[in-house]
Parts: sequence; structure tokens; C-alpha cells
Amino acid sequence: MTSGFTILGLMVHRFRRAYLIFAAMLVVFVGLGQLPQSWIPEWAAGLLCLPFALGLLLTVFGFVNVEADISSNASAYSPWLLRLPVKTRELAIWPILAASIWGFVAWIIFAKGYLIPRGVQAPIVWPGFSLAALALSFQAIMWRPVRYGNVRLVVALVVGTAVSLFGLVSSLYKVSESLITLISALAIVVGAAAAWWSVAIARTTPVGGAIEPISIARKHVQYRPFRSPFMAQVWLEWRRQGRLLPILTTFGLLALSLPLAFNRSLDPVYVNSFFKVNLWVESAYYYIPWVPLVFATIIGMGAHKSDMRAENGSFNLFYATKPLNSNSMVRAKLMSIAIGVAITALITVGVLLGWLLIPCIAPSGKTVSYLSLLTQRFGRDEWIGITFYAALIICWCWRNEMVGAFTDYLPSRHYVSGYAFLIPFNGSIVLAVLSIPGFWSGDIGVIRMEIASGSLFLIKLVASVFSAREYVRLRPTGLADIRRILVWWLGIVLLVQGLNTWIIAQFSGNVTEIPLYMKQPICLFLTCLIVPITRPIYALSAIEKGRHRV
Amino acid sequence: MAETILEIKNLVRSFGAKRALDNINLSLEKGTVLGLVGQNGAGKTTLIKHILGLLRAESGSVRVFGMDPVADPPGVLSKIGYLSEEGDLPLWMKVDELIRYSAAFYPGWDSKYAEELQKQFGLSSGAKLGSLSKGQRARAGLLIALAFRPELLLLDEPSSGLDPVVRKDILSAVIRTIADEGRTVLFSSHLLTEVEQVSDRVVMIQDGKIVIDDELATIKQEYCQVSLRFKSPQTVPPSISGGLHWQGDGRNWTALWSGDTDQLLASLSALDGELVSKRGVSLDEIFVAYAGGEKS
Amino acid sequence: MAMRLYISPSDGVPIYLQIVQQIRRLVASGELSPGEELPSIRVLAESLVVNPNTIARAYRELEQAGIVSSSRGLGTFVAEFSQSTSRSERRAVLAEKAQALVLEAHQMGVPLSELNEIVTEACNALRAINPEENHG
Repeated sequence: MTSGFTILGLMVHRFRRAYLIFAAMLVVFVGLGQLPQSWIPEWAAGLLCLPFALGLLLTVFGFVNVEADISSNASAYSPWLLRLPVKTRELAIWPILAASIWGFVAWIIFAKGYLIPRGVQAPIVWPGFSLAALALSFQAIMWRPVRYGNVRLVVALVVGTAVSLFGLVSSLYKVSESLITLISALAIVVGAAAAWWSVAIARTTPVGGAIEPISIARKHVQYRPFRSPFMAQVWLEWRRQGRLLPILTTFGLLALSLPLAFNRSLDPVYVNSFFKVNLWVESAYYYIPWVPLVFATIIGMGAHKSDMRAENGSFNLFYATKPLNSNSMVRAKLMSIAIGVAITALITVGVLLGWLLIPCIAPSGKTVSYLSLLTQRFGRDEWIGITFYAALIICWCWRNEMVGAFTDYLPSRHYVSGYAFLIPFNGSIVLAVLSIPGFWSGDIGVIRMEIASGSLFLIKLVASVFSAREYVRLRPTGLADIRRILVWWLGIVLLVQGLNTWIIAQFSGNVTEIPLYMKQPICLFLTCLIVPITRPIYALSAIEKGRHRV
Repeated sequence: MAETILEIKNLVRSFGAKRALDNINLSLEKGTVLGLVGQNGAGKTTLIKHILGLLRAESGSVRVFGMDPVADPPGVLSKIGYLSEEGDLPLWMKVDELIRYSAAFYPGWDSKYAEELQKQFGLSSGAKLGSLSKGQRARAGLLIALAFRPELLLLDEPSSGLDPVVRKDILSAVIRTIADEGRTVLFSSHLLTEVEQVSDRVVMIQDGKIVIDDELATIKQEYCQVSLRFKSPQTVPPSISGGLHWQGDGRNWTALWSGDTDQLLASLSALDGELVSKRGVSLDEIFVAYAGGEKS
Repeated sequence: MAMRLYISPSDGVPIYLQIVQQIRRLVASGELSPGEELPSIRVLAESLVVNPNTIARAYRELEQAGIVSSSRGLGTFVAEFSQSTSRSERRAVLAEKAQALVLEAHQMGVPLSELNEIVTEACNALRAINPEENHG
């Protein structure tokens, strides 16, 4: 028993702070649950679930070793723990138990302490089981040495999505709760067995932890050389991070589209008259753009291959000694992000347009496309709003990835983990403040908005200038880059301010019916989005300090 | 007059309270092989990092090819082929991707030569760097350091932890570099036999200071190991200044002696001793003598 | 030819001097005949894994001593020399060995007369094995 705790302790040692923070967060949630209903609107309450979800995901990562890389073919179980003179069952059973209990208990606390008091009719048992199964499946996938790391990545995405969404989708299709609970419980058993099996295989795999991929003798292809050092660096950043977004989005959208193939039954939906539509289309269509956004947020929190930082705060020598200016490195990273977002946008728009072709049955009995239902539903204002919404999401994706770019150059992993936690917290606080009912409406709401916007800009300007001064002190020739960034930022700020002013002007006075997308909080939200765009200045500063240490 | 590749003047560098480099003056001419030796923590890697621009000089100046490596990274680094102890190669990259990526940065990249080296080192194109052995990874790092025929080949403990075959590959690369007109090598190593084999000049750093900076042949001729015998047993090492690393007991003592033995003979006669023999020393022995800490 | 050279880097003797001594020995013993070409500096450096400057210095010394001669562009060759030079070369090599032998005997406290006896014994032993050759 004590050896079990020792093994567990050694495994999660690196993440021990994360567990403490997550536990503290659960306590906060329970506290929030006790607040009166009127204090937090449903919308904000729902959004606050995001930190819970992300926190849970991060803590699930705790059962792998420090160098774990999901796309490598080595086992992610800590190699030296594998070599301990203990039975395999010791190494397997304790993390399996811990993960299942962790998932289950976390859910119960969250559901009973936060969701139910808030009025959400959340089931208690099966989501806990699902979470446990998710943690176990993650363990099973990460601990097993594989031949091809990319296969592991795909399997993780598919299995992860399936386990997470299984309960939700089943309840949507009105499967009985007891059946869902039973299947989730079975999933735990299967997951535990798979995780155990993975540990057993990892133990018998030779040191290095990897199975040799079958090497197919490749014909020696003469590759086209890169046009310039900058293009080579863009390729590097693409491989490290840039291509993650399009790849993940593709899989995510495929997963989202999967139920379309299975359920063909059509339910009646009232849009001026009764149409018959596939229920999944109705529920999921509006969430399609959120798929790339969620992934972009996660990537922006610091997901990439092979660190640019070495252990002691300095730069990885391979990257630091490349004959390339530091500002070109930052530009290359930003360009690979932009290319990734552009491709993702095309994919997402493609899927959006594709779903429009899904057949439904019009009141007249004819088979029409989903598009005709939507044309019934939306007027001119709504279409403008939808376009605005789509453009916003794309820019938001780019912005989420780009503002996190500087974390790649930070000297310590702790800063990066701290940043990763800060994002969901920050986001939920902002969204909660924005949705305080009545606070932002009316003329006084406009004044409040202007003050809030102004203060945010000012704070950001001051922070950027401070960082820029330090950077220019270290590299006087970098002043031109700083100027360029600040000019672009001010340009975007002015554009958005102009947009906001136009929006307010359109709807000031005694207009009662304001489209959702035009409300003041949206304007303020836009402000919050664009204010951090000066983060590349931090990136430049961080590289200067890391690559040429003082 | 050979061109000066490297010019370091009055370089000082501290890490907290500790002085890692204390007033270093060093210059390196084109066409030389400089062997940098010293104990762990003496300052070798710190010095090399200054040359690469990875550390800013606290005071003093570092000029490589006449340029400041911190102010102009591409200008300096595009002429330096660097092989570090750790390698730090991205493990997810394949060998051909590594070659293609590195080739973009160096104008003088010779793809035929790179292909030749790849074949010679036995690196298969499709292999991920993470799946290669440590020695093979070192060879991959050596390949991209050599393929553009750098003006300066900079090696930081390249042989550490590697088998003799890879070490020979590295040394051969050093020789080939220097045999090509106009190229220079600076390497730091603990394997002093290797340093002796290929260096023209040897610089020994101890506690952040340069204690030896001379041609290897001169060093070998200057230092010798002397064997002394005294009439009466000595309980403590004889107080003869100029000798390093006194060892022995009673009547027989040995020490490392630098320079003329005339002075030694004079001191000996005063102490009633005689010079039994003297022989040449290896760099290892000089190193151990300096590092031993007993200086007189 | 590089196979016949053995370099010990950590020896007290500088490498260039080792090369000089060994080539002199090879020439004196006849293993390297007059007019034979020595490997180029680069080739020898690469095969011995020794700095070319060291080889160059060795070749310079040998040239100064008259053992080899080099012509730009053609290479380095063992010099054609007269019998007397060869003889003085051989004498020099043996004299060096004799010095070492004498010093060692002195250190051991063996008198010169006994040393002489030891040398004569060795010569007789050799004569016994090879009676035909003239050992003078």
C-alpha cells in the first residue's frame, strides 16, 4: 500500500502543484455554487465549466513522464519507474485506481457542489464514469510503445472524442440513463485493462522504450532546397506547431460529422412551418466553428514539439546557433501560425458549406437542402451577424494561437504552465463580467464600456512600452520591429474602436430590439481580444534574453 | 600575416558571485587548431558560448571574424560549424529533413559533400533522430557542421560519451578541415590524447583564468618531469619554487618542472639533492599537475 | 607507409619529433629506399589523424637534415645520399641507443667492463643463429 503511494507520488511529482491548484479550483466552484442564482447568469455559469474541463485534462496528463510526446513511438510511462524492482501490477494498479477515482470524485464534487445548485439537471454517476474512462484511455494510449507515433495521435483523438461525447450524444438520442451508466462502467473496465496491458508491454520493450518502425528503404529523393533561411524556419515552425490546428480541426470536424452517418431519423422542427431535420444537424451546426477555436486555444496555451528552451533557462543550442536573426524567428513562427489558421478557415468553411447540403424535408413534402431551412430562419440582419460571427471566430483562432507564441521562448516550464492555467481563468472571468445582466446596457453602459476599453488599452500600452524599452536596450536595431508592431496594433485598435462607435451609433437611443451581435458587451469583448496582440513584443524580449544571456 | 579569426579582449563573466571568466585574452589565427582544456567548470563552455553569442560579455569584447556575435548572429554563425556536447538536435526530425533544414542557412553548403558524409557515416535518410543511437546523432550533428565547409569549426567536448569509432570520425573531420586551406578549428576536450594529436596550440583554463597559452610543441619541450633524490629524507615537499605537483616521500621526489633546469640544479645543490632523471611529459600530466592544486 | 609509423600522442616526445625519428630509422634500416616517395602531408595527416602542420614541420626538419628532399608540386622523396651519409645516419641512431644503454647501466650500478661483456655475449648469440652473415 505504501509502495503504491510512493509510486504515485513519484509519477505525479512534477505536476503536484497542478493538482493542488485544481483542488483549490474545485473548492472555488463549490463556493460559487452556493451563491444565489441571480448573481451569475446561466451563460456565464456554463462558461465557467471550461476551466473545470481544461483543468481536468491537464491533471490527466500527470501520469506520464516529463518528456512525454504524444506523437513519439516511445512509451510515456516514466522509464526509470518501469525499471523499479516491483511487480508490473504495482506499477499499473495504482495510477489506474488514482485516475479513475480522481475523475469520478472530481465530477461528483463539481456536479453536486456547482452544477446542481445552479439548477443544471446534471446526472451524477455516468459523467463521472466517463471521465474516469477518459483518464484511463489516455493512460492506455500514452503508456503503450507503438510503432508509429502518428497512429497514437490519431487513436488518442478518436478515442478521446468518442469517450467524452458518448454520454452527451446518447442522452440526446434519448438512450436510457441506466444503459449509459452501464456502458460507461464497462468503458472503465476496458480502459483499466488496456492501461494495464500497456504497462506490461512497456516493461518488456527494450531500453529507449520504442519499437522500431518497419523501415521501408526510401528511394533517395532529392528535395527542393528552401528558398531562404526564413522559409526554412517557417517550415520548422510549421512542423512544430503550425500544422497542428488544421490537423486537429480536420479530425474534430470529422468526429462531429460522424453521427450524421449513423442517425438518419428526421425530427420535426418549427421554422415558420414544420420542417423535418436530422436532429444532430440542428444541434451541432452552430458549434462547427467552435471546433477550431477550442483547438486554437489549447495550442495557444503552449502545445508544440521539442522545446526551444533548455533546462537552465537558456535556449536550446540547436535553435540558438542557427544563423538567423531573432526577429526573423518570431516572424517565421507568426507566419506558420497564419498559414495554419488560413488552411483551417478553408476547411471549416468547407464543412459549413457541406452541411448546408444535408437533406431535410420541407413542409410541402419535397426534399430540400438544409440551406433552405436556414433561409427561412434568418433575415438580412442575421446573415450579417453570421458572417461577422464567422470572421470573428477565424480572427479569434489566429489571435489565440498568436498571443501564446511568446511562451515558446520563456526560460522556465513553470512560467509556461502558469500561463496555461491563466488562460481559462482569465477567459471565464472576462466572459462572466461581460454577461453581468444590465450592467452594460443603456447610456451608462456605453460610458462604462468606453472607460473599460480605454483602461485596457492604456494598461496594455504601458506594459508593451516597458517591455519594448527593455528589448531595445538589449538590441538597438530592434526599434524598427517594435515600431512596426505598435503601428499595426494601433491600426487594429482604431479600426475596432471605429467599428464599436458605428455599432453604438446604429443602436443608441430607444431601440429595444438589438441583435445579439451588436450588444455592447460584444464590443468590449472585441477589445479584450485585440488588446493582447502586442504580445510579439514579449516574444522578441524573451528571445533576446534567452538567446544572448546577460 | 595570418588573419585573426577570433579576438577576445579582457573578457569577464560572472554567474552570481562566482567569476566564471576572469580577464580572458585570446586570439586565434586562421589555419590553426586550438585545443581548449580545463577541468569541468573551469570556463571552457562559457568561453565557447561567448564566441557563439549565447552569452553577453559582462566587460571586455569578443570579436569573431571581426564581428560581434551578439549584435550580428547570422553574420557570425553562418561561418561557424558548431558541434556541442549535448547536440540538442530535435528528436522528431528525420535525417533528410535535418539536412534540408540546415542547408538553407549556409550559403556555402555543398550537397554532394553532405551526401558523401551521409553515406560515410551510415545515416539513413528516413530515420528519426530520436531513434538513432547517441553516436549516430553525434555523426548527424557533425555532418551539418561540416557540410558547408565552415571557416571556423567549433567543437565543445565533441567526444564525450562516444565510442572510439565516432571519436575517430570527429578527429578525422578536424584534420580534413584544417588540411583545407584557410580553415580553423577550436575544440575543447577532456581527452587530452586527442588534443595532443591534432592541436597546434593549447590553451588551458583554470578557475576562469588562462594558465597556459602556447604552441603544443613548445609546451612539450618546456615542461618535463624531474626525478630528484635527497641526502636526507624530506617530510614535506622541498621548497623549490618553479616545480608543480610535488609527489613522493623521504628521499625520492618527483615534480613537474617548466623551463630551464639550471635554476633547479642550483636550488638542489643548496638543499643537498641531485637530479636523477628527467623525461618528457604528456599533456595529461601537465593538466593533472595544474589541476592538482598544489602550486608553488 | 603510414602503417609503419606509430605515433603516441601522450608521449613526452613531441609528435613531429617522433615522426622525424621514425622516418630516420626507416631510412637507416633500408626500409625506405632512396628516391622513394613519401606520402603527401595531407594524406599522411589524414591517415595518422595528426595535424598537417605537425607533419609539415617533421618534413621540414627531415629536409634540413638532408634525409628527404621536396620539390614543389612533385612531392617529398627520400634523398639520394652517399654511403658515408647513410653510414653516419646509422651511427647516429645506434649512438643514441648506446647512450641510453650506458645511462641505464650506470643507474643500476653496473660497471662498464661488465656492460662490455654483456654486449659481446649478445653478438655471439646472434652469430650463433646466423653463422653465414658477416658481423665483423
